[in-house]
Amino acid sequence: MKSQPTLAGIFLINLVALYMIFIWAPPEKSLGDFYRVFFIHTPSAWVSYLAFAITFSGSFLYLKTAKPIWDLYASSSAVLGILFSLVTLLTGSIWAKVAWGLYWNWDPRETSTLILFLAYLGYLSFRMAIAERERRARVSAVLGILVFVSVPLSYFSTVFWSTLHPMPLLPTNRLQLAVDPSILLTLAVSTLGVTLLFLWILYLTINMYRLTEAI
Amino acid sequence: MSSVVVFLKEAWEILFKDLRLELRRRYEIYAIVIFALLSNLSFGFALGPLNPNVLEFVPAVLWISILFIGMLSFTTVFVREMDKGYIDGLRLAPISPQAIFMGKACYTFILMCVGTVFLIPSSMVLLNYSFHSDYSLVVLVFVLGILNIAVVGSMISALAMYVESRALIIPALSLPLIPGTLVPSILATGKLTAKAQIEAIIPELQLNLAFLLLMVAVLWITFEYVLYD
Repeated sequence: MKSQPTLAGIFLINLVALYMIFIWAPPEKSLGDFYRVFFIHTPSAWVSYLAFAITFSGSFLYLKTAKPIWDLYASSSAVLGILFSLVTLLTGSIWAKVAWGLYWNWDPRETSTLILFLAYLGYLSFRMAIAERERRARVSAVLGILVFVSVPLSYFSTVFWSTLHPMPLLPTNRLQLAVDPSILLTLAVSTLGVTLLFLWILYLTINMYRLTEAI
Repeated sequence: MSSVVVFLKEAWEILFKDLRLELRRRYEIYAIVIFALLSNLSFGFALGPLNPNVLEFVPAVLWISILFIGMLSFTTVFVREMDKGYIDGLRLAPISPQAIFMGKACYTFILMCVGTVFLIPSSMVLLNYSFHSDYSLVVLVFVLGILNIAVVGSMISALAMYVESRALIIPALSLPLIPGTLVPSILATGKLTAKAQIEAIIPELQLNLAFLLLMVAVLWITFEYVLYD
């Protein structure tokens, strides 16, 4: 019963975010209303990084403690990270078509995000290929740490290579988009909404796997 | 003896064991050399004879061939120990897991270098190009890139020894990790075919070196969990 107010809160924040994205935020000067996909694209990208960071942490903690719960965190978070990075890739392609003229431009950020997506798909297929539970958890934890290398590669790709994509705020310490404050506020609310939604689904997924194992 | 000397001695024992085994059988080296020559032929057919724009494609052609030479060795480096039941011998040997990994990675590196030694000169003849830069820089770029691929590939091979469908899982795991070194290596090789000096390739060398240090650090911490059940 305690979970119902939490779910209602997450639903409400996402409802407010949707209102701000599609009605409240003004059209952008050069891209018009097409830019609104940015409010889904950027939070999804952030959440996919967060999910993979949880996979990394879960993997590390599993190796340290050998407690199965950390393996559950790592694997569940990887599944969700893959889903959110797929959303990032799809919305990024739509935005790229509007802003740069092509769905796929081989931009370093696009390409490194696709590599990130494939790396974690490999992680999941690797898990599926090992039947014995304890061995799967241990060896996958090592892979969960190893594939995390793709995350900084994706994040810093716009710093290392010439790109059409805006630079990240960290480490460049400058916002390249000249944007209206209401757009920034909408981005903040939609990021909060998507992050809470991710954490809620992660909680549900872990509980589902726990129950499945108990049965 | 200091711990560093002991470590190097242990790694050498593993490397020497694998090299001796390979020199006795030889089929892996033969397969790699044949693959290196055939890949040049295949790319020659694909690009067309005496293609005037061949220099644009050479860096990618070379590194894709090197990557697949690596794939040939990744499928055996640790998997062979598991299949023949020698893995328990390795686990019981009084050798640190990191030294075992280092020996195996050096073995993969040597196999890949043998393939590359045949690949590059034959591609220069068949695809009709040459490097216009200092050859020591060419060696530096290739050694660093191959070392990175060998380190990542050996780790993937170690992970894959627990999996049934190894031939499928090794490319699926290694290909997304390797672009971190493959892209800078291709860019640096492209610059070297266009008369670049060392200043021009420093960013790529730095990236490759950072990638190597990062991978070695991760493997140093985690490899014992892969080896021991």
